[in-house]
Amino acid sequence: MTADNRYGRYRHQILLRDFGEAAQQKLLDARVLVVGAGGLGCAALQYLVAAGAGTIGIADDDTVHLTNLHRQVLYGTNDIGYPKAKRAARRLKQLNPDIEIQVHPLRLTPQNTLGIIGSYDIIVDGTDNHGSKYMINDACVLTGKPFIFGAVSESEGQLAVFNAVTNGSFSANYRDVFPYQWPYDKEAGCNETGVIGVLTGIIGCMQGNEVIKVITHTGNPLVNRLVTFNALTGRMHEFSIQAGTETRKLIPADAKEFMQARYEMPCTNDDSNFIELPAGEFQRLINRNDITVIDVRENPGPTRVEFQHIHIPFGRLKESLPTIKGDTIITFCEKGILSLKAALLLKEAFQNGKKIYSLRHGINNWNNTNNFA
Amino acid sequence: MEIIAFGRLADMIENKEINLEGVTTTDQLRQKLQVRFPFLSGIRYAIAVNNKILPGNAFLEQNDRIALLPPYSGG
Repeated sequence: MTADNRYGRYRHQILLRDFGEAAQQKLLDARVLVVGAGGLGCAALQYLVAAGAGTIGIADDDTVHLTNLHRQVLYGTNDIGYPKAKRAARRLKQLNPDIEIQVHPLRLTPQNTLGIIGSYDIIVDGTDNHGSKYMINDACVLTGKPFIFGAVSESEGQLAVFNAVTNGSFSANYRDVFPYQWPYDKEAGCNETGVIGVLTGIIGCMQGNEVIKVITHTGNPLVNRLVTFNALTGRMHEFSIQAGTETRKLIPADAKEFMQARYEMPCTNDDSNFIELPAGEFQRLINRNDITVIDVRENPGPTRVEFQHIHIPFGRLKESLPTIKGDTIITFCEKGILSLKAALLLKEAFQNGKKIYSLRHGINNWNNTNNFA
Repeated sequence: MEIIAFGRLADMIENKEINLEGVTTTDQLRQKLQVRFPFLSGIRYAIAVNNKILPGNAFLEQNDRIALLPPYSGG
């Protein structure tokens, strides 16, 4: 193909000052993964394909529902019941057959995420739940990929470029704004929250715009900045964010720890399900003698643990159930990730027979808090 | 101090009188808000001071503009 033909489709963006053929070529060489082909994903995908992002992955395990159609504009009534990733790919191929579309008709989990995002340069957030946003954020931090975050609720959206390299270091990520994931998705309403369809399109298009800027090094991407847009008032707000020195400690240390982390959380409005114990509360409870404290780390390591406890590695927890005595059990580990998983396992095993807690943010955090006290 | 709230927090907090007497840090602000609006115990939110989202506890001054930002999860 001659350069004229190759670039013909993109002529009007190549004509832009500061863009040109070099930027277009960067875009054509780029590999972009869009996680979630819903309201945000549909909008971002269309413009990325149109603009010539050369290879685009679509990860989504869902099928098209009638209630999606007011905002997920890649699908029509005839697509209802079919897999979103495949239907989106088919439509996008019609829009621009030169783009390579890779379909991942599956749900990203801690087990498969690193493998899938590994082959892409930049990751776009089109997900619809807190757990996925934390999981993809953490995976992007672990693999050093920029994460184009977007989220909506009712009439308002949020947008940011996380974990991009700027001045030789990585910019702020999602955990610099909202450090901790809560064990239960109480806030979200879990798909029962209404949303203005056009708003998902606006935020999704803005995400597409950020992708193009990051890839082509044009303009000022929303690095270390979070933008909100309200569709009803038409107002935008911008906030600065900074990469915190403590944030990295909230993220699994490596691939192995990531794969054991629990991100998917059940929907509930029941407060009794909140089982993560803040450090101060833990301090109050360990002084009582009717509490069983369990260290669930595989290898406890050198961390100072100066209170009475037993050690049952997470891997042996199931077989050790009969040996666990007491009505109140608190699990702990280094960072509070594995212990939360253990607490949920125990809660399921003992049903409502015992009170189960996990020490929030782990023993390291508790030790630090104690030192300050 | 001026407080603006986003998302669902806006409906719940807007136009309500909030007494901020004695509040000099963001942690104190959180405590004060939680007493005034008990539903906040079930909601996470970030605090921005003068358009800057701050991690951890931070000092507040009389003329600061505070924003309360809940996380959104929809897509």
